[in-house]
Amino acid sequence: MRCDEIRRFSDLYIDGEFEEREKALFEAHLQSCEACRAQVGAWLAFRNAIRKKMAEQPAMPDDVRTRLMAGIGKAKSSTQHNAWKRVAFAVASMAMVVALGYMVSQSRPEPALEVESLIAESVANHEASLPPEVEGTMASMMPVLSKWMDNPPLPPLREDQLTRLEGARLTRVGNKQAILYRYNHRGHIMTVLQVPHAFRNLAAAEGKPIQPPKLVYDGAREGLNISLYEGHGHTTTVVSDTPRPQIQLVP
Amino acid sequence: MGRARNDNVVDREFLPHLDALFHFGLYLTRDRQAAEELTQETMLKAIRSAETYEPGTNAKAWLFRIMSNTRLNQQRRRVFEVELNDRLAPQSEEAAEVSAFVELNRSAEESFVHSFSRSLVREAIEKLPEDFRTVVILADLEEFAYKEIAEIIGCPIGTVMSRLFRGRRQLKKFLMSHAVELGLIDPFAQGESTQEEDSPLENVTSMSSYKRARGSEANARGE
Repeated sequence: MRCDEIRRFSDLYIDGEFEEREKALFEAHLQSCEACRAQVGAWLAFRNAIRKKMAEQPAMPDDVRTRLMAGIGKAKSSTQHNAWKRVAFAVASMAMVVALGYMVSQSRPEPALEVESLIAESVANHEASLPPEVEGTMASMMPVLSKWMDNPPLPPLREDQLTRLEGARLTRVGNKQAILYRYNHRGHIMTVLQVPHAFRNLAAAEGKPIQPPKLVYDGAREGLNISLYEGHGHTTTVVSDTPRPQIQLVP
Repeated sequence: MGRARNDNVVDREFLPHLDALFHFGLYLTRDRQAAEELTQETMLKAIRSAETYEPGTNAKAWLFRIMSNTRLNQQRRRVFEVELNDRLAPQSEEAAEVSAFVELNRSAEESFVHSFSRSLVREAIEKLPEDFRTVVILADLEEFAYKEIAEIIGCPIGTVMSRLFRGRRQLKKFLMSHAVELGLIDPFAQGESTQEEDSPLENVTSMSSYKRARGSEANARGE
């Protein structure tokens, strides 16, 4: 890591958010760089001091506690009373969710709800550009991927002279495990997020013959190009600042 | 699910977090009355949805998420349903021990904070924009992991990192300028520490694509 990276990622380090490998890289730099060591030390001291000050909380006032507890007591005794109402409400909301899901699925190519949040997540990952947990080519990466998950998917982009796989890290999107790949495409960093079974409709389509990946969304925002593919049981988003990336998905 | 079971969950797993919820509410609303109402509403929602909570999982993060969503709904900035049945990941055991590695630099950064009263630090935190304030409180008062914060506030983890990065640095700037005013620090000697640091993750927040994502969700619901 370089000094500017130390500065960028010092919060992740002091908050214990780094994976072992990143932590080791970070500490290797600190060991050799006194300026960074002092700076990270000072930043940690500041964070600790703030935490200490914040922890000195005045107690909750007695009158507030009394009123809160009275409200909680009432709510506890009325939950049983409302049980049937709640069941009816749940059925009604489920019907609405189903109807909504149908409407959304009809409105492509406009990004659907989950597509939209997946795009936001992908763009955020591209902007954050965390270092990969594992570096190297597809061959060297597969053993690590299979440690992360059972039956790991193949890295989604085909490698050629223009497109090179550089590394990957394990991440999560919502409650799903996902893999974040870093490719180098014509000298630009390209962030590729691969989410197995991202969407309900895909999960439902399981068992059908595997389709070649299909482009579902292609657009630009904040100066970045985003494309989203569905197929092979995963959803793949590609984010880069390259105007027209010439990429091919692994068939 | 019987009522007895729910009462049990409420008493054992929800009530121990009542004080923490109230304090989070105080920081969010900056008003005692509003914080009390927000806490009450959060607890009522939690009790009504107690059966969707999986006992023994991360009750605190679950409750904080309800409060965070309730607050957002109140402000009508984003309107969305509290997704109560999503289970949160178990709380991370502990932050990695890093203090053993870096030498704590007690000279400037820490001592000037220690010389402040609690209320001055609170005031500085309350000056932060609410988005930043929320993340700073969740990280530094409640010591949630980034992933938990992302789930509580419903944002990508990159946004959490960016807001925390900027929030903490803004906080330091406020406090430093107070310290200079009070003559605790010589502004010239501390020139290095007061200098602006740009967030490397700035675009994550400024791009606001997340907000748009939420916006389009609201549109799709006809709101």
